[in-house]
Parts: sequence; C-alpha cells; structure tokens
Amino acid sequence: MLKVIAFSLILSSQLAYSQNLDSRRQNILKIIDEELSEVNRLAKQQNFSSPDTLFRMAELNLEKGRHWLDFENEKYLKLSPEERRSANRSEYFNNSNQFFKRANTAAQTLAKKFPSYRNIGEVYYILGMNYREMGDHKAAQNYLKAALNKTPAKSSVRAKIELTLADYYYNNREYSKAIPLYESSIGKVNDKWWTKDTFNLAWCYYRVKNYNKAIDLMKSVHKRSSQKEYVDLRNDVNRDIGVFFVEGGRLPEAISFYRGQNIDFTKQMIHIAEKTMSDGQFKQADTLLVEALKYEKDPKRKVDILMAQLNLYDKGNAVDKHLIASEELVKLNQNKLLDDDQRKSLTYHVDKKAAELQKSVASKIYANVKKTNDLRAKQAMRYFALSAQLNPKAGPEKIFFQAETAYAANKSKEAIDLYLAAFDGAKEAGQSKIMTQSLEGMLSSLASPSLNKKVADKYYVPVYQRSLSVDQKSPRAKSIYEKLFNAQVEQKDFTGADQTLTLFAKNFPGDFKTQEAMLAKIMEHYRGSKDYDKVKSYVSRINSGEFKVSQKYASALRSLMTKIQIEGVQSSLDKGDKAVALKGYHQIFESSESTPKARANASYNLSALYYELGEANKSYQWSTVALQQMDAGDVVKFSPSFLTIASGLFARQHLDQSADLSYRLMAKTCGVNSANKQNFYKNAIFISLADNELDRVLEMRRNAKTCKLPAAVMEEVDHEILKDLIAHDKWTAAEDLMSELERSKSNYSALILPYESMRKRLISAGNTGEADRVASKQAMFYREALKLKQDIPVEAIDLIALRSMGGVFNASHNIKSSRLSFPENAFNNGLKAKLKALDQLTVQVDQITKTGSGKAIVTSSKVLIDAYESVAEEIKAFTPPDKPQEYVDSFQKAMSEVWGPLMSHARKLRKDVELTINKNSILSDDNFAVLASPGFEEVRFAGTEDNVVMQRGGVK
Amino acid sequence: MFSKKLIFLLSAAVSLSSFAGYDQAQKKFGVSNASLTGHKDLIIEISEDGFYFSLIPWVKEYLAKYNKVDSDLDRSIDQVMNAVGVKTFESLPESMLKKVNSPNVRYILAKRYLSSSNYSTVEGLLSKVEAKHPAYPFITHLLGVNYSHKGDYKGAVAAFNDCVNASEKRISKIDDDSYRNQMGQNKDYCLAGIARAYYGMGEYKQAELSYIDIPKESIIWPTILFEEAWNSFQLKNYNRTLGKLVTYKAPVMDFVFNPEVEVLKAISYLKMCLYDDARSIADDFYSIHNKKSQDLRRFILRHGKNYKYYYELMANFESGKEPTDAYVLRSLKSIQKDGAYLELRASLTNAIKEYKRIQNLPKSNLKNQMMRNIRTVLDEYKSTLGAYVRSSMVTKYAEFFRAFQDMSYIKLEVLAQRKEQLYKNETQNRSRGDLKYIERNDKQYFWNFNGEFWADELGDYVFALRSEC
Repeated sequence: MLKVIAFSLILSSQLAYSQNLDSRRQNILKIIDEELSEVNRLAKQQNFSSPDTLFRMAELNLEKGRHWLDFENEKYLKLSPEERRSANRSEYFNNSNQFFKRANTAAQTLAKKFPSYRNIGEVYYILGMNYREMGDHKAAQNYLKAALNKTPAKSSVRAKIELTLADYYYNNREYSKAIPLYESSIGKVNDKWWTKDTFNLAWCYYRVKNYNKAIDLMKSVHKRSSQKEYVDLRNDVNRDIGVFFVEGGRLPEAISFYRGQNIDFTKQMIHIAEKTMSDGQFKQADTLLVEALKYEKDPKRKVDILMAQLNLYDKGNAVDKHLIASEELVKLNQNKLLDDDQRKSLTYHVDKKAAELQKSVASKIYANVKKTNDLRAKQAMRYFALSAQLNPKAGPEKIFFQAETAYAANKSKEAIDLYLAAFDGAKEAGQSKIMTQSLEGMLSSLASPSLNKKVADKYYVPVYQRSLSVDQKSPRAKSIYEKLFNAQVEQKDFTGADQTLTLFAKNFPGDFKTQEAMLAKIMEHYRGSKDYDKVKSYVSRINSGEFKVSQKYASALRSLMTKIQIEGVQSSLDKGDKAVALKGYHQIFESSESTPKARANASYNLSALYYELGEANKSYQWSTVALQQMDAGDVVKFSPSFLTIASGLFARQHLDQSADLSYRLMAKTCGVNSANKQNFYKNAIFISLADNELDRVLEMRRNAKTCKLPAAVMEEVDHEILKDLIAHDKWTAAEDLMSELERSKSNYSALILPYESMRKRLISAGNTGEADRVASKQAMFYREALKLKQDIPVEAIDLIALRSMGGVFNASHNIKSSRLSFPENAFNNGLKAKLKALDQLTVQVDQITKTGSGKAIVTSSKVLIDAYESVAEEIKAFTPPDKPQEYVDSFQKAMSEVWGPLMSHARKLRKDVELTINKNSILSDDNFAVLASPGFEEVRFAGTEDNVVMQRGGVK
Repeated sequence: MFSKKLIFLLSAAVSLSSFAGYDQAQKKFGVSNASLTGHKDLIIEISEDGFYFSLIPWVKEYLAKYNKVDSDLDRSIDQVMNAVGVKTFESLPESMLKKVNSPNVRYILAKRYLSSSNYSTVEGLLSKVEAKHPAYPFITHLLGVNYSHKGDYKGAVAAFNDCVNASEKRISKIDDDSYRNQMGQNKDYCLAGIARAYYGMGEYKQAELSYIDIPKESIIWPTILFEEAWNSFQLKNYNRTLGKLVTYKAPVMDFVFNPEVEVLKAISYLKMCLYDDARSIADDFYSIHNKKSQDLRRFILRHGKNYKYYYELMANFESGKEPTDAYVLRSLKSIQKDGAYLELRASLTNAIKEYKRIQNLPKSNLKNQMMRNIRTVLDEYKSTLGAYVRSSMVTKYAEFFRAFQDMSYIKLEVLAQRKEQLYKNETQNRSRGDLKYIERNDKQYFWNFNGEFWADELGDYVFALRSEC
C-alpha cells in the first residue's frame, strides 16, 4: 500500500550552530541510528532487492558521516597548531570516513545492481557528495555530472546537484560550465542562499567577460540583500561591483552607484583594489586603480592612487608598472605634492625595488633568460636613478649601485662607465669607500670574459691608471702593473710600457721574473723592428743593474743576440749571397758567445753550403763537425741532407769519406729510432766492400749489432759480405759467418751455393770426408728449403738434381750393355728384361723432373730417349740365327710391332723435352743433343775469351 | 487498493425438469459397456434431467474432441455452467472455449482478456449478452470492473448501476437461498464498485455516500469498511479513518484478519503528526505479528501444494477441530467468511447432492460412468477448495510481508520527521493540544462508546484526536 515515502536529504549546511549543538547532534545521531536499524531490517526483509531501501541506507550513512565529520572537525580544530602538525589527521576522522564508506558501498551497490533505478540520479548525487566529503573531488565531480544527466528536470534534488556542480566549476574556473547550472539552480530555488549563489553566478559572468549580465546580477543581489529573507551580501557587492563596472567600461555608473550610497569613489576604488588585492586578484585591482587614475583630476588624490598602485604592483610583482608609478611619484615629489609619510613610503619602495631587482640580477636567477635579466638590470638602474633623485647626497653611491647592477647583468662596458663615474664622483665628494668599491668593480668588469676585447682595450689604461693612482705597492698593484703593461704593449704604447716597467722595477725591485717578462716583450718589439740599438740599450740597462734579471734570463738574452746574428746570415743566404753566409756561419761557429746549438747549426749549414759549392772535402769535414755538435735527434732530423752529402761523396769517388760519413751517421743514430739508420749501414758496408775494406766491413758489422737493425737487413748485408769473403778466400771469416747464418733456417737456400764453393775447395785440398759432410749439409739445406717453400737459387737446384743423375746413367748403361740372343726363349726373356728396365728408367727420370732443375731434366731426358732408341734399334736389327727365311721374315714382321712403338715413344719424349726447354728457357749443355737435327749433334757455339767483367767498385 | 480480484461464482437454478432425460439416455446409452465420451445427445439428455456436475467431464471431453457445438448442445452447456459455476471451466484452453456460444463462456474469456488489460475485447464479448440471461448481473459486474480498470469511471458507475438493478431483479425471482445470497453479494460488490469508481475519480465524498449503500449485514461489508476508512483518509478525516478501523476490534469482526488495517491506522496517526502513536503501532505490529507470521510462512512451506491437506484442514475446522497455529486458525476463520470460498463450498455441496442422487439410480453402464464422473468432479472441487485455502493463506502472508515493509516506511517517516524538527531546532511541543489528548488510551478514542460494540454503530466510530502538525 505504502510504496514509497519521499525522503528529503537534509543538508548539513542547514545546521544552525547554537549552544546546544552537541546534545542536538546526539539526538539527531540517535535518530539516524534508529533509521539505519530500520532500513537494515527493511533491506533484509526485501533481500536487498529494493533500490529505494539501498538508497535510503546510503543517504543515512552520508548524513551520519557528515555529523561525525562536523564533530571530528571541531575536535581537530581545537588542537593547538603544534599538536595539529604532529597529529595523524586521518585518525581524527575515522568515524566520518567509516560512514562515508558505508554510504559509498550502499550507493555503489545500488548503482551497479539497479542501473535503471528511477532515482539513480540521486544515487549519483549521494556518491558525489560522499566523495566531496571524503575529499576526492575528482570522483565527486564525475558522480555529480552523472547525477545531473540522470536526474529529471523537475526533480527537487536537481537544483542541489546543479548548485554543487556549479560550485565545483566555479572553483575550477570553468565559468562557462558553471553559468547554466547556477542559472538553472537559482531559477528553481529561492531560499536565503539565493544571494550567495547569484553572487557566484555574477562572478562567473564577470569571468567570461559578460560584464553587463554580471553587473545586473550584482545589483539584484544588492537589492535582495536588504531583505531579511536573504543572506546579506551588500558589502561583498560594494567591494566587487566596482571591478565589474570598471571592466565593463561603465565607470560613470560605478561612480553613481557608490554616490548613491554616499561612498567616496576614489577611496572606495582604492579600498576595493586593496581588498581585491588581498584576495590575490591583482588584475582587477590594477584595472580599478588605472581607471581611477584616469578619472581622478586632483593631484593629491592622484598621489593616493599612485601610492595604492605602488603597493599593488609591489605585491603583484608588476615591476614595470611599479617603476612607472614610482617615476610619476618622484616627479610629483619634486612638486612637493607628497607628504612625509608618502615620501618615506616612496623612498622605501624605490630602494627596496632597486635592491630586489639588483639582487635578482646578481643571483643569476634569470641568467639563462637574457632578455629578462637585461630588463631587470635596466629597471634596477632606473630605480637607483630615482633613488639618487630622492637622496642627492647618495649620488655616487647610487651610481655605484647602478654600476654593480650592470656588472651583474654582464653589461661590462656600461658597468665600467658607471664605475668610472662613481669613482670620479666619489673622489670629488671625498667618499673613499665608494672610490675603493668602484675601483674593485671596474677591475672586475674589465676582467669579465664577456667584455669585447676591443672595448676592453680602451678601458685598461684609464682603469689601471686610476687604480695605480691610489695604490702602487700592494700585491694587487703588482698585478695591475702587469696588466697595464700588457695593455700598453697591446696598444703598442712602448713608451708607456717603458714607464710602467720603470715604475714597476722601482716598486718591485726583487721581482726578476716580471721584469724579465716585461723586458722580453719590449726587446722583442725592438728586435722585430730591427731596432738593435734599443735592444742593446736594454742589455746595457740590465748590465748596469737598473733591471734585475736571473742568470738564465741573461743567458737567454745572449742567445737572443746569437739568434739575431743567425737571422742575419740566413737573410744573406736567402738573397743568394753564399760567400757572406759562409763567413757569417764561420763567425758564429768560432764566436765564444755562440751557444752549442748555434754552433751545431752553423757547422751543419757550413757542410750544406760547401756541398752546394761542390767542395767535397770541406763538406765532409763540416759534416763530421756537425755530427759531433749535433745530438742524435737533430741528426735524424737532418739525415736526408746527410744522406745526400754521403751519396755525393760516393759519386765523386770519395769512397772512404762517403763510407766514413755513412758509418758515423749510423753510429750517431745507432741508439735512436730512424728509418735512415739501415740505409746508413748498408751504404757504409757496401761502399767499404766496393773499396775492398773487408776488415773495416767486419768491424762495422760487429759494431752494428747493438744498433737494433732489422734482421732482414743484417742478413741481406751478411750474404753480400759472405760472397766477398769467399771471393777473397777469407775462409775462416767466411766459415764463421756461414756458421752464424745457418743458425737460422731462413738462410738454408742461400747457403747451398756458398757451401758448394767450400766443398769444391775441400775436394781440391783432398779432404773428401769433409767435402761429403758439406754435401750432406747441402742436401739437408735443400730438403728443408723445399719444406719451407723458400726460393732456392736455380744453380743450387741444378746442383742438387745433377747429383742424382748417377743412377740414371747406370740404368741406361745396363740396358745398352745386355744383348738379345736366340733361341727364342732366351730372346723373349732378354726383351722382357729390357722393357722392364726401360720402365724403371722412366720412373727415375720422372723423379728428377720433379726437382725442377732444367739441366737435370734435359740430361735425364736425353738418357731416356737414347735408351728407348737403342732398344728399338737392337730389336729392329736382330735376325734369328739358323732359321729359314720364312721364319726370319715372320719373326721380323712380328718384332716390328715391338720396336715401332718404342721408337715412336722416343720421338714423343724428344718432343716433350723440347717443349719443356722452350717453355722454361732452360740453358743446359745437353740442349743441343736433344734439340739438334740428326747430323748436327756435334756442332756447338762458344764465347770469346775477351769478355769484360765489372766488379762492384766499377773497376775491372 | 483496487487491484483486488473479485471472484464471482455463477450458479444457476437447479433444473426441476422431468426425469425423462435420464431415462431417454439410459435407453440410448445404458445398455452398452462402451465409453460414453463424445455423445452430444447424452449431454443434452442428462442435463435436461438436472444432472450437471456429473456431466462436467463429458462436456470438457466433447469440447476437446469436436470442433463444432450446435445450438442445442450450446444451450445445454450454458445450462451446466449456470448450475455448477464457471470455475471448473476456467482452466480450459481458449480454443476449446471459443467453440461454445454461451454467455458464461464469454464471461470466462472476458476475465482472461481483462487480466491482460485487453479492455475493448472484454467490452465486445460482454456487451452481446442479453439482459435476460441468468449470468447478466455478473456480466455487468465484470463490465463495470473492466471500465474501472480502463479508467472510464463513468462507464463503470453505469455498468455497476446496471448490475445492481439486474441483481435486484434476479433476487426477486429466485427462491434458492444460496443463489439469492450469491446474487445479493453480486449486488453489494457492484455497489462497492460504484463507490470505488468515485474513489478512482477522486470524488471521495460521493464515494463515501456510495459506500453507505452497502448494508452492514452484507458479507462483504467488513472488507468494504476498510475501503471506507481509506476513503475517509483521502478526505483527510483521519479521526474517522481511525474510527472505522477500530471497528475491526469488535468481536463480531474477529474473523477479519487484515494486517493493512494496522498500516492505515499508523499512517493516519502520521498524518496527524502523532508520531509516537504511529511509531507505537509500528513497533507493536512487529512485536505482535513478526513471529506468528513467520510461523504461518513455515506452515505453508511445510505443506507445499498438498491441496487435499488444506481441504481436510478446512473441513476439520468447520467440524470444530481447530489448528494449533494461531495465524492458520485466524486465516481459516477469515476464509470461512469469504464469499468466494462460500460459493465453492456451495458448489461442492450441490455436487454431493447430485452424487447421492446418482447413487439412487438403477444400475447401468450410464450410472456407472456418471458415478465415475461425479467422483472426479468431487475430487476436483476438493482440490480447488484446498488450493483456495492455501492461496488465501499465502495471500495473507504476503499481506503481512507488505505490511511489515509499510510499517518500516512509517517508522522511518516518523524518525525523519523527528529529525527534521531537530534540524529546524524545534523542540517538541506536546502542549499544543488540549491536555485531555495527552493521556489518552483506546477507550477515550470513541464517542458514545462504553466498552461495548453495538452492531448498528459498527463502522461509525470517530476519533477525537487533534492533529499536532
């Protein structure tokens, strides 16, 4: 019967706070508990299938949660700030949270289980409010939006949803969204809060720049506020409507609005601006004051507005506007329109702002935002300028601050100008502190890397001179001298530089080093301009003790003098005046003042010059001197020239000198890493070999062992030495060298022939045993060389291959020596044995062919061909004895089948060997025997006895 | 509250025609041992001899077997229905029922269409019934209900007035007490229908006057009294509502077992802002009825759909053997006074009479088959009665179930009102009324009441409570 009873949600905002709040709340909570108990019973009875009941459950829990929240909030707020800081906030809100969660659970269960529930919008509203109470405003807004979508337009709760959501939008600054909701809500609800909600709506319109609507609503709020049924917001309206009027371009209306209430417009505007400002609404406050200023004609009141602006722009950190207001006020101050308090306030503002800006610039906050930094620096400087106007006595100090600001902003040039002005002003006013500080500043500015060098150059002298005018002996003054000196040198003001040096030497007589450096620069300048007299005059002043220098410097000075001399010689050489150059180098070499380096240089140049002049002996002589004077590094550096000189000596048949120079070069560079070192060695050895100086060769070879020459170079040279040792029958040395060389397998192939010479000498001496031992060694060398795939000299291959020919000759002899005979069986056996022997011979010849020795191939082939032809001829010519003619005919016919192929094979062998000879260009004694046509076998050509053979030295 | 389904039973005058019909049938069908199912003539003949209940199975079988029913058989079936009521035929499929051109069948079909809110079809079916037909008063009754459901209350009033007139005419022509009672009930229901139609129109004063037309001695009056109480409630005459409801405390009304009475009482207090009274009723309702209603539920669950058991339970109760379960007993007492139950029971009585009559017939195959039929019908009636008893108990429990919910809502409303007062910071001011209203009890609620219920005052009590709103 009674299906639904409408439940009204009582908002906590309706709670009137009174003294019996606690007991009343307790009573309410008691009732809510009873309600919850009843709702639970109902829900159980309905098996939780009634959305209305679940809805009610959610409502009640939310309501209960709110009461607890109020209570807990009061309790929490009663804590002292210290206690509150250390308190765990959530612990104080346990109860309310618990009920909010229950409300949530009920509402969410309901929403999930009954998505089409007719009051689903209200369920979402509860969820929204619940989340709002729990502080989850995002979720709250989402649910409120859902609630709005699901709530019918006529629903009583819709206005509440709209209002709550509108408040959210308002707070989120989403005014366009808030407007329709407020509109709808205030159209439905006309309770005492109407003024508050409409006030919010007016602000929304203001925010979206619909000023007319905003003003109309404000007026409505103002009007209704006078009625007791509504919350009185007249003060708020008076405060805000001014802003609205101004922004809406309806300032006259604002004036009449306020006049209508007997409110002083300017004061009100300032008052509003101050209030607006305290709410953080700087823009509105600004507009108000700007408009008020435009409207106000009275200069005194203008001052009031400008002073209000100062406060506003100070708090809003609108420096540009603050500066303009300050400048305006300074002007008005000059017309004595400010009272003492206002002047003090203005001074305070200007000084404060100047200091803040300067600090901001100095702290590099905007270091990476150059534009901002520059702007702030400029503003600071303008403030300091204003400050100077407000306090003329502090002029130099303010200029100094301007300079400091410029310096902090990396405006070094500007800073220096200002420091100079501050220094000069302070000097005039006798303000030594500012002088000192300005000086420090200008020095620092001058050292700034950001200062353009050209610009800096202009300032060094005025700055350093000002510095030295107040301080000549301090450690820093010492540095200033140097800087000033350097600046003068840079500007080529050597007169000024000389004065600075002189003053420095006077004030810092013990500082050799700086004096030396200064002297060096000055003398370098004069040396460059070839004003040697000036150089000499400084040397004289040094010698006289005017300038104190170290021994080292004195030596360098001498070197400089030598250098000057060499430069002179060099210039003569460049001009082609070799005679003058020669003379000059001789002088340098002989001068007692010349350094070893200069001497070495001179001797080298002399050797080169004499070489160019074709004077081999002098060139050799000065080369040896130069090599003595020079260190190994220089020798390496000039080694191409020395090589040329050595080659030139060889070309001119100065073999001893060439070899000696090469050897000296090698000896000089023995210990260093030089590419030319091996050339020096080879040259020295080969030239000595050519000169038959074998003993010297052997000595050089011994000495070179410590020079770390490449092994390949050493061995290459050794083989050459070995040839010459054998050629000159220096057998002991040769044997030693061979023994040394055969330690490395790489030398095996190259040693076969030298050992052959040795073997032959042993045979001729009758020492066959030793000769056989050498032969064995040669065979071993050959085998190993083959294994190592070394290049074996052709002569060595022929030598080894021909040694194996003995077997071939023996086999050939055996074939030829046995003769065929009858009876038949004996013939057949004899023939078979010959054919077999031919096969064996072929195998032996094949083995020899594999050696690759042309000579052995040709000779062995010749023996094989002979053997074949010999056997064929014998068979062809054989006639069986004592046999009838028919038998003989038949026999010979049958034998033609045997000797024919043998002969044919012999011809083929001959062709093959011919091809081999031609293809491989084999020059063998047996070529003729193989290649010659029949009948020409014994025709041979031979050379004459008058052939000329040149030896290494180019002599016969 | 108008959703109650009214159950009407049709009865017809018992035919006093000659015995010849049976003899004729005996001649024709009694000799054979064959089944007598599907013989149109048999139904016609036997019905003409006043045998109706034993024909029910044959009629149903015929309708199931044959597509066409001629006018003779039509008439006979109508006659059977007039005699035994339509209840037993209501379960037949529509296709079978449509074969018969009987106002009674139209009535059955119309009820079905009404339940599916097919109002125009109901009108079409019922408007063709002639006024002279015995079922006409019931037909107009149903037509009135149809108009009410449709929202055409003026049409409903007209139909119900027609019903009242038709019923009165019929009553004057009937000798049979049982049938007359039925017709009287039908008239009273139609009078109630008129009042309900006015209620539906929101014309509560007119409704009040119409309710007065229902005599207090009518069997439906105790039920209608509750409706009157609601009507007074709608007239915001809560003291009268309470007065009408207190009538149910009269001993003569002890058979009325309606939990909604307490609900309406509580709402009335609520309307008068007598929150403590409203809450007291709600709390008492729980304490008094909660356990007992659960016992009733368990009883119903325990016996499932054993209709025979319920029939026996009711029969035993009527024989003086009361069940131990309090609310089972109260339910049985209530059912005993229920019009629909009485109609069913009357039909059963008539069926038993017919059974005895058949028993006295000479032995024959026809007799045997009629005996078999009447036994089947008797079993069916017993089951129907058992089912009715059970469904009444289920309905009762459902009423309690709803009443408990309603009481919860009332209690919540009371609490909400209290809370609202606290929110408004209003202290409860019980002194707004006269002192005499403060310490009151049930006895003080009545005027002209000395602790006794006078039959002629029943329903006319009025409370003298002052609203505290």
